[in-house]
Amino acid sequence: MKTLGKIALSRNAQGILPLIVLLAVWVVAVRGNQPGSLLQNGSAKAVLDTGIDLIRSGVLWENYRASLTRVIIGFALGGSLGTLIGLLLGISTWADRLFGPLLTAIRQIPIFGLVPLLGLWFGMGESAKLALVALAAFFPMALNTHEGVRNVSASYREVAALYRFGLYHRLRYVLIPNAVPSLLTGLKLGLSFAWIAVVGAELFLTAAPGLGNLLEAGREQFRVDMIVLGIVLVGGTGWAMNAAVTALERHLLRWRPNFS
Amino acid sequence: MPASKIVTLQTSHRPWETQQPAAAPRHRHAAELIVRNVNKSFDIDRKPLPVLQDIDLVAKPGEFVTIVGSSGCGKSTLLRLIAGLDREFDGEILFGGRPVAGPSLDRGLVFQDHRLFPWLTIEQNIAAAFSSRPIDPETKKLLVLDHIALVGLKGFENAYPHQVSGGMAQRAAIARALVNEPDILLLDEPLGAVDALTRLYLQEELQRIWLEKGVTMIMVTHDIEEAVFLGDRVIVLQPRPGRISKIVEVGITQPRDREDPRLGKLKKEILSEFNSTAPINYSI
Repeated sequence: MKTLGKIALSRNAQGILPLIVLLAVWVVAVRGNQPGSLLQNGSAKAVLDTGIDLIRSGVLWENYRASLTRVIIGFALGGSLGTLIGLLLGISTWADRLFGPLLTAIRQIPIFGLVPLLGLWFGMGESAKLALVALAAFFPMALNTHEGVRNVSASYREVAALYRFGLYHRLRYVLIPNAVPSLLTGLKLGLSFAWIAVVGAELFLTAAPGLGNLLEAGREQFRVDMIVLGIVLVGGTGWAMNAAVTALERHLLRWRPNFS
Repeated sequence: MPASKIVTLQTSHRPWETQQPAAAPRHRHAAELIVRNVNKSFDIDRKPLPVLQDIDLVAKPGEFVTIVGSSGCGKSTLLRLIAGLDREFDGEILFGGRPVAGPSLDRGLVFQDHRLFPWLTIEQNIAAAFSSRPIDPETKKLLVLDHIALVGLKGFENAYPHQVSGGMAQRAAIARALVNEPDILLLDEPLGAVDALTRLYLQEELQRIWLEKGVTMIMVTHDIEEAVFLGDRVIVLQPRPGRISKIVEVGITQPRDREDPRLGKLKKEILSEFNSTAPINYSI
């Protein structure tokens, strides 16, 4: 087990290598740059210094917290509604026939294409941002839950029929466990989409604290360091969310041969 | 059948009376299975394809009946009808005097593939069989552990199905089917997917469980030797459409000796039934 752990660790560590190369290229490319060039003020050191300054002044946390809060609230709304709708469509073929096509149709609309409409309905402020995040989280959760519940094999359905499972036991022993891998995919995609949507919403809609705001401020002030800092934070958080769901996956899917 | 016109007229006004003959045994442990004139066909390309034709079969309480036939003879279909998983057929299937109207905990079924839920442990899988029945947790736990011991899986309670061998998973499936103490256990080629050595061993285990539990068993197999070794009676099915061509009384007390020359004779007798028709797997 110990050696296995070591191999896993070194394999994970391999992913850091390109990052180091990227960092090196960055440092070299910025050095000796002409003033006014694209990466001016964007050296690794400048980004680090700005980061420290912004942390000290509390500005960074204020913006980061605002984005994170929007994702949490938006995901809680959209994700749970999506899971419920997906479950309903997965259990009831009647509901599936009725609402399935509509869901598929709406899903084809790029989320930011709905910004004008959401703006009209919710204004350009906080509720519109939350609505956009919720919508972004809704579809991956709904579709993946639906898929996971629906694709239960006929063999397991027969076992459920044989032992006369009611709805509760069908959900508990068959439908939900069968849907877990799909649910986790939905969770990964939903969080990722919600995170993308929050930054987009902050850029498109009325300015308010948020990482999108930090990026926008950097553009207005010709501060490449602030923009790069924002990008690194957005990317890093997205990566962390994915890693957290992967850890959850490892635990929940321990019954699978390749997970234990 | 001395059925007068008057009787037919009377019963036609009260059709429910014909469903439960007064003389039928009603008490649980004397439940007899009667399959009467059953016909079943599937629709393939909108054309009916007969799979079972005029099946008549009685299994007395506590009897071990084996059904042997080549693939495509409808033997699995017959078990599914008895289990109540498929209700579209002509004819009558009575269990304990009542028509089979769907699955019931009185009738257990073991599939060829174990069909344990991969996300539940062995113990949880067996306990799941109680889902539709109110039972206090202590009795449930006791029954589950009892049946785990019965099939020789002590120590594997917390293993997931993928962590045990195919033979062990099939034992767990047998425990799950028996844990509700059904009156009849239907076995659909339960040993079809295990290796030859495990198969011989599990045949003896099945015989032991049958003797220990006194439950009626109907086992479908394509292995003639298995059929004569385990069955009190062997029913030979011929394919396309599935129909009974011969019923053989084995008449040797159980447990039996595999080397018993009488078994060999019966095997030959049954084999000759098949010689003129489709090929059959008669190895082992």
